[in-house]
Amino acid sequence: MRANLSIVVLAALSAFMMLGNACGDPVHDDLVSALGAENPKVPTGPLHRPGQPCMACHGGRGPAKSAFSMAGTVFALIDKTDPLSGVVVNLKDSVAYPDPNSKGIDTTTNAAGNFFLHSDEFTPAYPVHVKLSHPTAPAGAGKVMYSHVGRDGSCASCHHDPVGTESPGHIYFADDPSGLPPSQ
Amino acid sequence: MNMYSATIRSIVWWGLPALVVALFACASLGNSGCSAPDANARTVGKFPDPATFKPLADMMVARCGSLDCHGQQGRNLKIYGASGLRLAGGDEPNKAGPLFATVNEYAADYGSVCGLEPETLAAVIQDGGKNPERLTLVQKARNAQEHKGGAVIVRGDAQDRCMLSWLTGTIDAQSCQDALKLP
Ligand code: HEC
Ligand code: HEC
Repeated sequence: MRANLSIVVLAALSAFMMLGNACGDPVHDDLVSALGAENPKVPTGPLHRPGQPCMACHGGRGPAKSAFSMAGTVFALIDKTDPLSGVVVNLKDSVAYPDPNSKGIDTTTNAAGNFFLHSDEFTPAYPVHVKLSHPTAPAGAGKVMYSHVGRDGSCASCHHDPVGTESPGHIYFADDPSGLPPSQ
Repeated sequence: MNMYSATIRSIVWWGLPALVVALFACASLGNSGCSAPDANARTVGKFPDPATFKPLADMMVARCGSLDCHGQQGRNLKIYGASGLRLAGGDEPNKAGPLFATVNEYAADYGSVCGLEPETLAAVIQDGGKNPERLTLVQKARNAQEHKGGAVIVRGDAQDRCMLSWLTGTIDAQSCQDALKLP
């Protein structure tokens, strides 16, 4: 009956391999679950999960149904995580950037500091260049990202705390309160 | 039940386990048959002069080395530099604008680029940079070989000229510089 057994083992093995193929991408699943559960105090929507890599869930592979092309969070200061609303995030892709007549695309942060562009309103041709400004901030305030985004639409994939060899830290608008817009 | 299906049955019942055993036997035979590689063997070949590398490295840090591309620990071709992945603990991506890499980062980048296909690189250098498309580096950048980042280099553009010049032994620093202005 040894032969019988090896057939069963072989069949089980191939079934297992097929099962493996049919399942989702474990790397994606791990990424999503590492972000944890929703904060019960914040409704699942535009204000949720500030500072997290939005596209982990909104990148078209679920679990969120809505897909974004670029999204992130802007905080007020370098050393704090209070959000800043009303920040104009200017994005210029490789078509807009060299064109002196193109202003790129502007989007504004909400009360959580979050901004997001749905995939059907913006499909960037990478690389993308980023600039921050605010209509009521003191003159000269704002930030420019010198390097470009190569292909990841989640700002937080690169911008996360703590600062280290692989991250410049969270996105912030000013180094100290004198660079912030007067509080409304 | 005819002879034919009986034969199939016996192949299925006895043939498969036999095949598995045969495969194992074959694999272990292969292992014991190999001799260990010669510990003194070295790849002998000429690499590009490290002194010519800086303009190419600056170009690659800016154009290829963002944290979502080759500035990632998991990449085979890892690029270290000030606007992306830093080599030394305590260093962080530089927010003060263009500054390209530390001495150690240039050395690590040189190692990354040369270590990809050392024999092929040495052969291309030996031939004065002829047929550079022998290198995966050139193929991938042009997306002639499947490249996650797509065709980031177009044949003949400033980046292409920069990279190919390095392979001839005389770096075209102007083209490397021009490449930094690309979107
Ligand atoms: C862990 C997964 C996850 C992360 C991370 C995440 N979201 Fe969501 N988000 C969801 C789910 C699930 C919904 C429910 C609606 C849906 O399926 O689209 C949702 C809904 C939304 C909605 C409402 C739907 C729409 O398209 O208007 C917005 C806006 C939104 N999220 C913005 C963000 C932003 C901005 C970030 C990053 C700061 C983010 N989300 C991060 C899972 C996530
Ligand atoms: C590929 C990784 C990556 C992504 C994605 C990314 N950034 Fe950056 N960002 C960096 C790095 C590295 C720096 C520091 C060097 C520099 O300024 O280029 C930086 C710097 C910045 C700065 C300037 C910081 C300062 O103190 O001057 C701002 C503002 C910024 N990023 C905003 C954003 C926004 C908004 C997004 C999303 C649209 C984003 N970044 C996406 C890597 C990234």
